[in-house]
Amino acid sequence: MERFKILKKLGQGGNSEAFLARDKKTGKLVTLKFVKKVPVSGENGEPGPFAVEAAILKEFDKRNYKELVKTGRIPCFVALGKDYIAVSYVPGQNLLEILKKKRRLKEKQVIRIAKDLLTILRALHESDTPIVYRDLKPANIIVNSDGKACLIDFGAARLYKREKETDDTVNLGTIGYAAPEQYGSLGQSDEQTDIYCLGMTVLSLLTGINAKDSDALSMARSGALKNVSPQMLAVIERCIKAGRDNRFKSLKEVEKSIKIIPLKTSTIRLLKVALVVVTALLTSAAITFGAMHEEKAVQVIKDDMEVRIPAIRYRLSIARQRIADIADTLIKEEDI
Amino acid sequence: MKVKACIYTDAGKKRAVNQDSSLIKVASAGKMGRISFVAVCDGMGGLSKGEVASCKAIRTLENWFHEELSLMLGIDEDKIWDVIEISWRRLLADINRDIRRYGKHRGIRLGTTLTALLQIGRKYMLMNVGDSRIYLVSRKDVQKITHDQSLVQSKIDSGVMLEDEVQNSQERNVLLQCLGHGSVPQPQIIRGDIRMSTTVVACSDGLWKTISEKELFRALCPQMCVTSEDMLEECKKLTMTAIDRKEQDNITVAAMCLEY
Repeated sequence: MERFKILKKLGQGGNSEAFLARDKKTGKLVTLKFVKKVPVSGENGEPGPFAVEAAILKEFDKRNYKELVKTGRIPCFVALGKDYIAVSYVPGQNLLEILKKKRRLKEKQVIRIAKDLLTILRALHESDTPIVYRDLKPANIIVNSDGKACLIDFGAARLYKREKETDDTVNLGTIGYAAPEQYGSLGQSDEQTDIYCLGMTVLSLLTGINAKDSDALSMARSGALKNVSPQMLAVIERCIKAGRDNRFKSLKEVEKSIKIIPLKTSTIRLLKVALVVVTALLTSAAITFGAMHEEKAVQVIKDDMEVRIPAIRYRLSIARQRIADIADTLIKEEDI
Repeated sequence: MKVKACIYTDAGKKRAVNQDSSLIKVASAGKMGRISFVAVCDGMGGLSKGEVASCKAIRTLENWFHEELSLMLGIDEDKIWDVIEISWRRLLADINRDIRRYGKHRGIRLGTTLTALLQIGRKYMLMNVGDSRIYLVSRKDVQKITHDQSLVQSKIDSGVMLEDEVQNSQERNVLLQCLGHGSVPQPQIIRGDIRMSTTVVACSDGLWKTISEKELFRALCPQMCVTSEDMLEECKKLTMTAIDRKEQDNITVAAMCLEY
């Protein structure tokens, strides 16, 4: 611990507290995470509370994640102690704080964030032993100075073992964002779990709803909120299906669907513009036609006013007279 | 406590009329918190106008919930369940009499099963006549809490028949008790506690004869019930699976997720 100098508290989760610190050895900023509630193990050869997280972060060096680590999109491992872990500091603004300030984000911005997250998640999953992140939520996303979304806190992440059929450790993840299978008894979490968390994250960014509130969630999913396009809502809806068989099969599919949303919305916008242009053209054509034949039209209207309308009036008055005569005759006949 | 609920029903591919009826009622009852009530009645297919019998039973239960139960909520917690039980027994006699009278006037025989569960706080009471079922699905397992009043079940209980033989038995649709046909039935009335978040699933035999308890758990355990819409979708999927497995009967599933 003497290696690090704590600068300030960054935040706290259910089991840990995070601090910003400086690594005296390298001079770089790091995030120090201390265990809060769980009893400290690791003394009798048992793995410590951050052993799994450290193993996963070390995995990044072995794999082709260098670009992501280099650009600070995911943290890299620095040091591990009995009750703490040090990882590289990811500077930027926390998405939860941005959301609290703005209440909700615009769809364009959310699509950009979703694409960034998908790049990271795909990198984690598309490997022989995929890493399931399992705790995707606005609080774990940092938007850096380039406007790129970065992932922090791999505390809930696990290596996915294909042959394993048993359930996960229960209650890892965050209520509201966690997929049904993360609560246990429904099998091991996998790529579909991250797809669910991504869907919930995107929905809460767009609508500002509390993901724990099932009534608000139902309302947001019904399409009652106007700032979410139907195309976006359809993608989210498929991400957050309770049954994982009904969700997107892979992150690649999600990426594909999200990429075409701006195209779809721009197509709709184009169609609307085309409709306005066509209406304007037709109206102007009608006005031009009228202007070209103004004299004729005036003459026709004049004729109508002077000749045709009085003639129609005359005929109508005759008809009225005849009907009155017939009615009189009928009344007289009845009287007789 | 939060309650999410849905009902899904389908007449099935062969039947023109859906003879099942069901209801779910949720209300806030002051110091007792949320109370919820679920019931499923399966009008008997072999008898004509089964839909009238099941509908009559459900309407009576609905009136009971609104008019009688609301008056009982002032009673002390230790006495309320006894009062409700007495009220339920009278209610069953009333339904039985009304359905019999309807049949007698028209010269027809009709009947219905009835299964219902009332939850107040962390306690519940259920009544059951016939072979509709109620399951309690927790985060870890599923438990059938009703006991079928059918011929095959009595044979299983007395050791004459094995559970595996039920599927091929000619007598699998024969009921020992039902409402509207014969004298007042002896209902199964039991009480219990709900210790954790649980989904109460009431269903007609159209569902449980083809869907296993494991499938029911995977579809409707509380962790799967994120919203009522999700529950409805899962109920629909279960029903479609039952139909795909050549189930001919009407299918009804009423589910309530009680989140503590």
